[in-house]
Amino acid sequence: MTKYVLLAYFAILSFYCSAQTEAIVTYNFESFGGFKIETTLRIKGSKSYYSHYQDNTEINTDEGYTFWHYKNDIDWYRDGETGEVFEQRQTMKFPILNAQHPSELKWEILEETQMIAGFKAQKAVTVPLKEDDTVFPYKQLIAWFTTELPFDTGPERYFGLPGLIIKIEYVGRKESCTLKEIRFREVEEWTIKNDGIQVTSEQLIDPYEIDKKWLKEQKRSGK
Amino acid sequence: MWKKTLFLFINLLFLLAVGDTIGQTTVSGTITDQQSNEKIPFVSVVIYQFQSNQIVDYAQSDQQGNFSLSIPRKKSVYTLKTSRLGYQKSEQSIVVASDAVKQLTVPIRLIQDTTNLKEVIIEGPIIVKEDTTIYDVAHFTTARSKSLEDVLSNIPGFKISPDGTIQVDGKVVDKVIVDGKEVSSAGGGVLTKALSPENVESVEVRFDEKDDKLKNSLLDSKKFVVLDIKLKEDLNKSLFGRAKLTSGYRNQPEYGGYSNLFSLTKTNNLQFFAEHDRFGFETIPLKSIKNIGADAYNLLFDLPADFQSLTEKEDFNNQVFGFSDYTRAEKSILGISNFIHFNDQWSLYIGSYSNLANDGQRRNYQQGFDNSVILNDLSEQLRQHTLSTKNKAELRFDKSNWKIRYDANYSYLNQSTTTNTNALVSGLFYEFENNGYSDEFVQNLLVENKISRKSGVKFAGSYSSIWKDTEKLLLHNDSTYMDLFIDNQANFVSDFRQDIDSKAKRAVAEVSFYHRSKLGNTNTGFRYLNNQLSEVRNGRNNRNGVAIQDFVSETASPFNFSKLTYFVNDRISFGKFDFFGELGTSSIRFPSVEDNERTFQLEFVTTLEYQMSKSSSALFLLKRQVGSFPLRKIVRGFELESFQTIAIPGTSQIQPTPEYVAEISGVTKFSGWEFDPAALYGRTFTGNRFVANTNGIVEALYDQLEASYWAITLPLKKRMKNLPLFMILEPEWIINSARNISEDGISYLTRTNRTLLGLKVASDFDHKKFNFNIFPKYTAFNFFNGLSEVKSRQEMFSLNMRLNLDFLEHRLLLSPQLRTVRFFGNVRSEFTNLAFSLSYRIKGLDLQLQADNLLNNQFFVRQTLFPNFFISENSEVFSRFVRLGVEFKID
Repeated sequence: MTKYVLLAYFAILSFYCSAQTEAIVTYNFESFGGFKIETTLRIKGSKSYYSHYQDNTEINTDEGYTFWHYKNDIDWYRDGETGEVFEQRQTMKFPILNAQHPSELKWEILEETQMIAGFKAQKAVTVPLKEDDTVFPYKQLIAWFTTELPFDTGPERYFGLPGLIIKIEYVGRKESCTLKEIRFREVEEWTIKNDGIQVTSEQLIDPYEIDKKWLKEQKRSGK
Repeated sequence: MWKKTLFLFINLLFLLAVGDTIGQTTVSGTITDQQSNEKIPFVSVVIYQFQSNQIVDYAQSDQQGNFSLSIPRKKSVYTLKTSRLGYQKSEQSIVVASDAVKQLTVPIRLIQDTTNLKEVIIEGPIIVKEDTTIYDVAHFTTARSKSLEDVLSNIPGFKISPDGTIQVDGKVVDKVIVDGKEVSSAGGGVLTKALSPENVESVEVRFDEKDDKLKNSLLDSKKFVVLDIKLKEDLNKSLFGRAKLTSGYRNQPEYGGYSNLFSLTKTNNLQFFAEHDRFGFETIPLKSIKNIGADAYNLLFDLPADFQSLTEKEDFNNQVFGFSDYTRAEKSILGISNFIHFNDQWSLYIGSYSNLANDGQRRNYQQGFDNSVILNDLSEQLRQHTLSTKNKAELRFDKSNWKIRYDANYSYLNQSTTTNTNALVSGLFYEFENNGYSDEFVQNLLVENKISRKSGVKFAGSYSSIWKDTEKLLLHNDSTYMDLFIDNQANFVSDFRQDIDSKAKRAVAEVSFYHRSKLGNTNTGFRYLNNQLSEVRNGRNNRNGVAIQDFVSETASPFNFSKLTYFVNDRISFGKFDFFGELGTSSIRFPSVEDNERTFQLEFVTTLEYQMSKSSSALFLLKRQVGSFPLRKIVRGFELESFQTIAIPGTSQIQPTPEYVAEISGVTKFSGWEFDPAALYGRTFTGNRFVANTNGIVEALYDQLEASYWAITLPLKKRMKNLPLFMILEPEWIINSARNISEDGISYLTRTNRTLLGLKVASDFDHKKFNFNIFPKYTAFNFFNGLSEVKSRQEMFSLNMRLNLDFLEHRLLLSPQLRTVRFFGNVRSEFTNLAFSLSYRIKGLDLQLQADNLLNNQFFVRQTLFPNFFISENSEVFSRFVRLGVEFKID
């Protein structure tokens, strides 16, 4: 009898401990004109999956301005063991695109801290992807991470810091993504969406750089 | 365990100290579960430069629990921190004593954490973690919020008492700190009333503080609630605060001011405040300064509360009458404190607070004895002058297994009261003066040692010396006083003087042993209390110095009261219940007429708390304790208490008596409603016997008569979803009764029932330029006297309305206020007050204008029932005034 009780205890304990490496994180994504949506990051052990979906939206402000936000359906999948980030994106007029991002993202961790969403967050900045970092999206990104939540991942394609990234902000661009809610629970396995045209990481980040003719051909050939 | 690991590790470093001096050193290891020895993946491992935020390297452990980090190959000190949900965080120092080390191996063993985070939900300005809730201050700040306390009172779930005590979701906040550090030891009120919301980013309430250094006890497992004020990052903490200058007119020009400064550095945390006001305004009232003098003693020993505390509560009159500030006294206060954190272990607090107040009041009143006959129709003028100072020095030592606190407190109080009473019909007059000063010196010591993870010992001791000198003077022309005021040479005394010199000592010691087991946290030990009193009373004819026998006493030796208690208590949590129970048996020695006597008493305290959810809980408390023995009641010699009351000892054998307290309270939220009902019952045997003499003197014969009270409150709060309204419905009942024995020896009860029904409605228009508060209240007082069987009833309806008007983008704020009170029943009266305040903010300055009692009311009606007499009074209200102030920030 004692044996079964102990077995049950360890079974519960192992489930309990595994649940502590899994979580569903909700972020508030905010952009110009007061645009705001919720995005989700699922964490399961060393893997994570971040999804961002926004529909075409028109915002008319009290001051008489109109802001348009185009459809964006983006998913990022990160495998912490291989260090790879796979992204599928459908945005504006472009077809569905896929890319594999570099396995290593270079960060510079600074000593500056601030309280964000109740956590002590430390500042880190990305080392720019291109030498010319004056144009979005190659600008620097500021990430605020917290060691209080020991997950080395975060929103979009940003990860690899010693704690969960709870806020990201682009330098010089009025867009941010801030932690709203985190629930520690068992997360179901997900299927990686991989039904788009394969492009490079840089092309995916700035699809206007993709050769339009080539893109059309790829679309036509159904790749 | 970790110490051994660190020791071995440092030795290893020396052994490995060979090789070159350039490149990187690899720090690697395997992380395992301390209990099961299983390897733990996904642990975040971060190596910091010692005592800084600078991250040198970081990694996550792999599936086999392995990690590897790189640090520069040089002599240095680092801190290695690990964290993973489900396990306790670990932290260890790494001393690289040689610049030749290439490889370091650090095995890490983690302990499972039973208190894991379940979820973190951020609801707008409130973030709720497992045991912590964080509130964004800016969100709750309005244009009218002058202090952090004003902001806290706007937050749902917060309840602030006039003395600064804070309750959050029904839990009393035990300590208020700033940015994780203690800044003051004089209670949270001095901080929340002083800090400006502009300087605060957020407040964090931790309902189960984990930092032993902040807790009052290392051994007690009671959940300790801490409110941590997080200041803004860009604030110049080396000097900040605010100041105000005021000038006003009330019959004559009056001037005042206020200044409040903080200087918070790594080691020194300095607070200074000073205020002088002739209109009774106080930013930091004396009542909010706590834990000094006798209060400091109460931090160590939870002695029975005084039964009278209910009616003496600061907001009692406000609650019952909807009006408490009849007078606007001249008040001055000066406070300075410094909390010095020498290092992680040693700290010192020094605080000094002084207060000066001048108050005065006139009243016309009628007295009816035994609720039947109007005996006296009197006019009275009272003047009171108070000077007090409270000083404290506290030395603290905290180490992982030790907690030591020593504090020395000195308090001085000098108070003089003069009452001029005239009988309106007969022309009799009575001038009564009561002048006294007291010196109090209190020392407390607490030593706690955690012997192991499960057990510990505690010693707590306190020693107090109190010297009190009182002088009482009565000048009168009432010949009916002849029966009592005859000196030893048979002269009638119309000019009476009594000097009372009193010396009291109190020693308390407690030794106890704590043990944590499956049955909870058990504490058992002995508590010893000794009270000693020497008092000399000398009453005489002030004209010729001849003594009056009845008013003279000379104690040959001091009276002693001692109590030795063996106690055992246990605190245990099971599921959603927290239980605390203490059982004690006391051996008591007390003085009687002939000799000392001994008795045994059983005492108990039990509390049961049910935590339904984060914001819903219920509490049940039952207590039986022996109250402090009233040594003054056995000192021989009459004592003059007022112009018509004389306290007479020795008519009854005084014995130690028990007090009973029961409480049921709770807080719950449902469908947008918040309900926090409470029922409190107290019963004690400390009442005196009052007999009205035929010559108009009330004799208070020292006795131990029964007195009890019930207080029931059922407040219901609702923040409307579709309407910008917040309302509180407050039905309350306060019933108190006292037993008395008439001159003929008949025992009877007097009872006062107070029924109160209030409704507070406040609007919360976000984008409108106006908001309002409306507070109607109905109160019915029913007085019963068991002797005469005459009942009387007094009803009161009050309406308080305030309009808040905001102009010029919240820079100009106008608040007119109308308060009207109607009395029905035995006495009919009415009272209407009109007041307003105006505030204009310009370039960092806040210009303020206040005007009160614009209709220049003279009196306010009150009725009170004492055990055998009834008072119906017209109390003078402060006169009309205007006051102008300019407030500015200092930073």
